[in-house]
Amino acid sequence: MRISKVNAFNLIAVALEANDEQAASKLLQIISKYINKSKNAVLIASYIEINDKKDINVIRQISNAYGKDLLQNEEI
Amino acid sequence: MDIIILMIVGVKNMWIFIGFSVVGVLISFIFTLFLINFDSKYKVVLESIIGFGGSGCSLVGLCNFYNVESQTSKFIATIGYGIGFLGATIIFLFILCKLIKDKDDEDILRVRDILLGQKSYIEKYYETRKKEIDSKLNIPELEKREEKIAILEMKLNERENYIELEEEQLNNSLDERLTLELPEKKKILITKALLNAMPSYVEGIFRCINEINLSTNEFINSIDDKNEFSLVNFKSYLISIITYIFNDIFRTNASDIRIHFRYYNKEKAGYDKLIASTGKNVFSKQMTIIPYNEDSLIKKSYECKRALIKSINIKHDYKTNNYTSWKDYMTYTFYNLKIDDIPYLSFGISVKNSERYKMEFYFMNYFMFEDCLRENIESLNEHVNLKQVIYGGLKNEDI
Repeated sequence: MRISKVNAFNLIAVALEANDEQAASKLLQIISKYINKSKNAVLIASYIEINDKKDINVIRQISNAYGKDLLQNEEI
Repeated sequence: MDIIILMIVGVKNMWIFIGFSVVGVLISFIFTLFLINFDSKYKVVLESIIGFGGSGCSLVGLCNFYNVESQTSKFIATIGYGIGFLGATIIFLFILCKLIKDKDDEDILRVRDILLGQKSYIEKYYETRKKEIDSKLNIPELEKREEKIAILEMKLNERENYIELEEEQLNNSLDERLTLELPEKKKILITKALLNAMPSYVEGIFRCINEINLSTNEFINSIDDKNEFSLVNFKSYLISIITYIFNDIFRTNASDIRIHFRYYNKEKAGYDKLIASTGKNVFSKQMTIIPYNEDSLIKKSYECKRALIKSINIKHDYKTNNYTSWKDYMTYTFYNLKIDDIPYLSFGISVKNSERYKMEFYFMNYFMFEDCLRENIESLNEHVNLKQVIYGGLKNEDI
């Protein structure tokens, strides 16, 4: 799954706006994990590559709950 | 007795006797009060002259007023006055001696003392009173305490002088050594450990700056695409900044660091939480409001236009409710973003372990990391009106 960083952070803020701090924190941890993974890349990418199915499912669930339109152009 | 006097002198002379005795008693009372005051000798003499003179005059005056003309009546009046005066003086002296003498010391006051003008009893009385008050106030204990405090004060003064001298010497030696000069006017000695750690911190800070720059561009581009930018979008932008700082500079998502942005809350006249994160979690708790009018690092940072670290600017620290948990912090106020002449956005990093993260703080401060934040936020502000985003929600036409 490839998701733009802007949309990923927007999804966190949307979940937070809906007072779902748990979802926001989960997303933050996943995004943080994949940003950390891509640290060694020479160029800083504007998207995050998510490989773990478990993480993809979490993002899908949160996206379905709060920000469907946010990820509609993403390669899920 | 009355009958005998009545027989000898008659009714009229008896009234004269009684009347003048009463006058004598009154004069005697005043005289005794004067006498017991123990004024200076000349005063006593003066008072006596005036007293006797006044008594004589009043005697003559009263005799004339009541038509006491016969020699016998005048004699009776004088006798009455004299007996009243002398008798009353003796009685008043005894009464007053009894009243003012010390209960614990029967011999302390004698009539003789009063008549001879001996003041020793007063001195003794004062001494006894002093002792009584001293024992009630526990003066000896207080004196001991005062001595101890005086010694401690002396030691503290010595210590203060010594510390001032040491500080001066240290500053002199720091001038000759390599130091990091951090705001406000603080010098941090570059130790070997600091020097060895520098490359890795520098790398992290620059990577973070790059990522924040890129993130800003991406967010600005996203505005152009969608043509809308709300407070939620702004918060997501701030979360991105916070995440990059956690990943690149602190390299941890431990919960002993909290990175936050505050905005100026007009109603509360202070800085309130806008967004905060402790690495793993979005920080959901309320944060203590920092009043704008109070002395704080937010205010000081606005004045000196630099990020400030609490541990080296302790005098401007505003003690929040949880100051014991967050031991140290770094604060920066975006001085160009103002509402009603008050800066409305501030950034902060709080840490629970000040020793563990002090190097990160020093390097971030030294490399003016805050400038990167300022440039990026101001750049975003050029595309969206952040003031409206925060205070009024942004409409499409405001972009």
